[in-house]
Amino acid sequence: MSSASNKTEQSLYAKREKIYPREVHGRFAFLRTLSVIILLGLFFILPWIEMAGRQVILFDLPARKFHVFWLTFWPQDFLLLAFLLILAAFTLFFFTALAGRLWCGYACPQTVWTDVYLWIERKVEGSRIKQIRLDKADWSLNKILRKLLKHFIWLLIAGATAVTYVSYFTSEKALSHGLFSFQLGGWELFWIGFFTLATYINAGFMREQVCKYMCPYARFQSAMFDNDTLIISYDEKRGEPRGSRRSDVHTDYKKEGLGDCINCTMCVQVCPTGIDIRDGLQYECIGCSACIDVCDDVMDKMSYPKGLIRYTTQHAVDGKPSKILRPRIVIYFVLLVLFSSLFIYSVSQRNIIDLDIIRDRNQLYRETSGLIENIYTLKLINKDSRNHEFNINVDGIEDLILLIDRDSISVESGTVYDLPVRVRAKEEDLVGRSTVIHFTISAMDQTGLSIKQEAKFLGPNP
Amino acid sequence: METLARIGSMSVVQRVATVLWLSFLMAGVATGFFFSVIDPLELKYCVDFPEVSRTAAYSIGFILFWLLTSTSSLLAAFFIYPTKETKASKSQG
Ligand code: SF4
Ligand code: SF4
Repeated sequence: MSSASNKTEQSLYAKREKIYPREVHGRFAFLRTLSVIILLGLFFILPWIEMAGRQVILFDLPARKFHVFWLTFWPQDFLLLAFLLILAAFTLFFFTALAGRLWCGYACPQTVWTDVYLWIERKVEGSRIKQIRLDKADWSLNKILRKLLKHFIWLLIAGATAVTYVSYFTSEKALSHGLFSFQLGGWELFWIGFFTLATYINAGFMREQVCKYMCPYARFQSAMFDNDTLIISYDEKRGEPRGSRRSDVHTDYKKEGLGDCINCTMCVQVCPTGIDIRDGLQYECIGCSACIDVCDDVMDKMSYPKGLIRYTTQHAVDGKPSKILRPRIVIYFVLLVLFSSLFIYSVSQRNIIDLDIIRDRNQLYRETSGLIENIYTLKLINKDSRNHEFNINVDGIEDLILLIDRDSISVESGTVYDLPVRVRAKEEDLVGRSTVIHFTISAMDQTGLSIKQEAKFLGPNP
Repeated sequence: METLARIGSMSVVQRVATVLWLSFLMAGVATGFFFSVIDPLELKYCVDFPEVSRTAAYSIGFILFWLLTSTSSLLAAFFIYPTKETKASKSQG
């Protein structure tokens, strides 16, 4: 018992071995770099792009409005947002079932930022071997300077990332203006600091541990896998038994009973999660395809055919045919189409104008010039992408009089307009203490665009 | 027991991540739900709510939610271990 608990304790405090992934070149490395550049570019540039005078993507939390291109979402559109999240989830399921961890290897922010950090580490500290040596070496001026420089650049990138991230939630203009004039609100600064730290720690130190321990997707993705999912796999039949070659490349290694794997361990050295792909499919593998590129190089040098490690499927590895169309894929696809159509339908059907009616709280009713008067505040909400001019009508009681001390009511796109109105009626026309009336607002510049809401008209006891 | 052994062998990072990170996610979800229904600026009509900006209210709301969810996670992380008695009886038996 005690030895067991000792062991537990040891592993509890066991230090993670730092992984120094070796640099890779090759076709997939090229695709990855491309994807990193495109995604980072989008992330950093989008907040600066404006459409009709405002940021194209702005989750304007202080104003409780989300702008996504020409659409504006309000808190009332919460259901749509939920649809969107479900949609995103099914998209991920679909692609995972089809192509495995493409997301992890090429698009996940954790991968993208870690790649950038690794690139800087290499530029500052040199190749994998040099990095290992530097870490082992005693502290010297050279080591101190290099480490300082690396962390400085890392922090700089983390800071830029955090500012950009926060600018998706408060406008970039206001943010950068506040930043450079040192007039940022305390909470903005807090969040910028928070995300700077998060980026720095996640991409600089946590790295593959985020994928291994923190990512829910990594844990659940195996449930979406089947034997026809695209995976990265080592061809065991071809590679084994592994072994180093004699100096003469041209001796027939097959006669010596060796497979194609020369046991150079390159695939292990490039792996950002520190696993050996030759041990079979492991959940730590993020599908980054670094091992494919490097092994292909090795195969080229040995003039063996490429693809000892390759994109394949479990069925193909087992020598069975792979199918792309299978029930799982079809079901995910149908659900995907269903939710997309539902989303598009509800976006197109949602009210682009809205009306909230609030009764005056101070007085139930009052009597003026022989009539009963009620006071309301109408909240006219224009969710449309353009301004509208409205007309207001009220009905429900005979000879209702509507008093508005304004000639025209024009509501700007994406705003709420508070309009105080007074309604008067004859006492004998009321059916009781409370009578239902209806307000209708209709756009004067677009026929058919109108909305009707119910309100209560209060009077004295009959 | 097997699960417990696995929990025991978790690294520190994994333990911290389990408590802080997962509760961070859940606090985010809760904050989203809460503030999509309730506008902090309108809270002051209903309860004695200090006058703060929306950004501040969201942030404080999130931190409070996070405190709540991480406390719950932390307690769960403690309570998942068997009590001393159970341990002793196990090793005897
Ligand atoms: S890189 Fe290829 S040849 Fe080298 S050890 Fe890995 S699988 Fe074997
Ligand atoms: S095993 Fe290969 S594909 Fe998987 S993470 Fe490691 S290097 Fe990337």
